[in-house]
Amino acid sequence: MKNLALAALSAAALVASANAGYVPDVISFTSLAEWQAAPSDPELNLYPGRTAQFYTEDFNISGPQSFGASSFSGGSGWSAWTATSSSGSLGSTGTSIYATRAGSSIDFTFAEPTSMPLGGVRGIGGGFGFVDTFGNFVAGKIWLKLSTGDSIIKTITSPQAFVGFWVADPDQVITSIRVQPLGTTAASFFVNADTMYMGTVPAPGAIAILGAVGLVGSRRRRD
Amino acid sequence: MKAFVLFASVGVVSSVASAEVVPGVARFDSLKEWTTYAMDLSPAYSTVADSLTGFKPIVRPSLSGGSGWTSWTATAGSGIGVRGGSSYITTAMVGDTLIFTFTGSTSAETGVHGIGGNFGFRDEDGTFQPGSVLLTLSSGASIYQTFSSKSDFAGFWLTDPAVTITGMSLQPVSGSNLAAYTVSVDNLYFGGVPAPGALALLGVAGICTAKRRR
Repeated sequence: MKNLALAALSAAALVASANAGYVPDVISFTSLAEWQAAPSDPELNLYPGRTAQFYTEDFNISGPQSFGASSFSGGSGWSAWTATSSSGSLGSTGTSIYATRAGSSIDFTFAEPTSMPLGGVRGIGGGFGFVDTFGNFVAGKIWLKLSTGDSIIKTITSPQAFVGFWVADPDQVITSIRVQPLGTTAASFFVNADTMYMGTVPAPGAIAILGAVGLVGSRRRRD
Repeated sequence: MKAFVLFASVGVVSSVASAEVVPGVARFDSLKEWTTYAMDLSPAYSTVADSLTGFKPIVRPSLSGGSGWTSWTATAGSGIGVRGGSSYITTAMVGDTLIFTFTGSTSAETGVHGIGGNFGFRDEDGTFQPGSVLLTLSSGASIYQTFSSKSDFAGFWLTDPAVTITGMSLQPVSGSNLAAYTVSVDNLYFGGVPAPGALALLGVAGICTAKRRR
């Protein structure tokens, strides 16, 4: 095959210059390892010269508000999130949150960055699925929808399954994500979020501010 | 080359039909779910499979197949390779990106609205090899997926009926495979609305056949 290829090279060069037109803007992933590696993957080259930051939310929520809450919140700064349900009520198992009515969705909203491009939530993923009334995992189909219009429809077969996205386009940002139940499982069980992984790529201004804060801090320590 | 209609959906109501459909791009890793989703989008949508067979086993700058609204042309920097008796196409050199351009129609009514396939890698003997591929549509929507077997699937549907898919690139992205194997496609699956003219022709052909039988 390789020898034949050499013979065709000169003619092929005329045809295959169209590669430049295919630039990813929103990429989906079904592997946590691949999602975590993506921002620094030289083959993808998503954020040249930038370093991504990550935040992991394990939904360790307990106490009197762990069932029937109208919303849950967590994270801070760029990773601040608020969860609500289309039925108006959420519950917590202590290690995950779920919609308390079968067929209802969970909506996560995030703060928009104060300046663009970059900053804000650019990567999102997690372990999503269903739980029964005892909080046990149940396999089923979900539709994970980003505010950008991009989505994944996937049957989740294990609690370790992962689905996620990175937004490569610097002019787009993730401001919300919906976990919507689909199929027959949706009629009897409760859609949940077990772990949520978030990623950002700080805007140049934010990096400069962080650097200035660091300089001031070090001067104060010297004084 | 051989294409056959998987189904033509007619007014089917399903669990997704009542869901909010935000214009955008939906991704799938299951052929069954990709096929089912067509019914949820519109009863007018059909899906067609192209098994990529019937090509002469030579390396060429480009390769074209399909017919009508499912017409496609594949290109790569090193050319397109076809192995005799096989049912897949691949790039001729390792590390190359395979690009499909859908040439049948760019109109919103009759263009390609859904695309999917069985992707992966091939070694010099033509044996399937697992690996990761970055699939990117002409719109910029992408899927990064590791394909472990020949039957592994990845696909897209555009949820905005006013937008069509005019092309798709398959970039090999897994480190070890980049240096050893060529990215390949075993089957392509198209989703869209067959041209009204084509449907009318099919209807006329059916009437003629029925008259002959009588």
